Amino acid sequence: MNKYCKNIEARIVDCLDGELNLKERQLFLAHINECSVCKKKYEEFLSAQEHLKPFLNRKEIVENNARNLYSTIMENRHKGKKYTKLVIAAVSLALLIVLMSVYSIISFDKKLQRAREMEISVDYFVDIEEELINSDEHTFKIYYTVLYGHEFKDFEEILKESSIVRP
Amino acid sequence: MKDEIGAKGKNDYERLSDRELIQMFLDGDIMAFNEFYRRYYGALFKFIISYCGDTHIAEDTLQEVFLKLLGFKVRLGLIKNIKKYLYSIAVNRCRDMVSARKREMVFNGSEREMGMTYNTSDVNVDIQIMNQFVDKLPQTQREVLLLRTKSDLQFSEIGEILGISENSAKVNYFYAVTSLKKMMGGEY
Repeated sequence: MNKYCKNIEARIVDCLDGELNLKERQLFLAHINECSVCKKKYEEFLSAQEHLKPFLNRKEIVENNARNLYSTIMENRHKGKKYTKLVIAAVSLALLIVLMSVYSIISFDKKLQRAREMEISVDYFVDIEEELINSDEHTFKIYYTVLYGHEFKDFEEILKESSIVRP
Repeated sequence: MKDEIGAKGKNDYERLSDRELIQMFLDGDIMAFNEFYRRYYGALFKFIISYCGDTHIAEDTLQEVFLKLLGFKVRLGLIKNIKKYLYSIAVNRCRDMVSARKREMVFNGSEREMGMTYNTSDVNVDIQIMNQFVDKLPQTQREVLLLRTKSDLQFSEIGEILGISENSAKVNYFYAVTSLKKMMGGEY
């Protein structure tokens, strides 16, 4: 088996399709006459192709069905667009929710960082918003500073400025 | 522009390339798409019906293929090889359909062989037997054979559609034809 044999199947198909030029064809036929393995493949394919000719060259008579589909296709081509708009709206909403979540996570992270700077336990800080409502004056001032980044102020003023409603 | 196109006759459209037709369609000329459809529906339909073996399913699939193409209207102008794109959609759709049918058969506990059931009333019995042999070929060989014989595509085009080399397409065709002959044995 030489280098030419390696790609013989493709060459056989090319030869029988008339795709080889004169020089390539002469080379191909010379090889076929020399190599018994390739010659066998060539004859096998030639015989198979002859055998299958009625099938391979068959012209279907069912094309009419397809020809008549054109009007249906043109009628239906805008139907999908309704769904496209819905999908775009849903994706936009999802994107908005994701952005809002990311923003709240980032702002919460900043608060956590401030809490760490002030050496307040992170675990303790997690529920800080709820804790604020019932905390004593001293804790409230610390939490308030952490949450809103303000300096300590008069407690009553802080209460006035704060949106948090204490019971 | 539109008036100029509107004045075109049928022969003018026939001379245009696929890309030109699609561009004109995107500019609002429906007749350009009509010509594009006329150019491909026959060969595509032959391929699909040979792949799935049912006239009604083939009609639905052909519709889906063109509707999917139209669904990409925004991107259509950017596609370099529309023909390849069209056939790729068809091949993928046919693969999905065949897989779904096989799953359904397994789910229903069907004892029948996995081959398709051909119920095309207008196809003769010999062809039906032949199609059942074609179904037994490996997927790539079957697809190359059908694209070559039903759609008259070049091997280079078949390679592009199936994501294989031109050479590989030829080799697959070789083995598809010789395997079919072996499978048929004494049938013909």
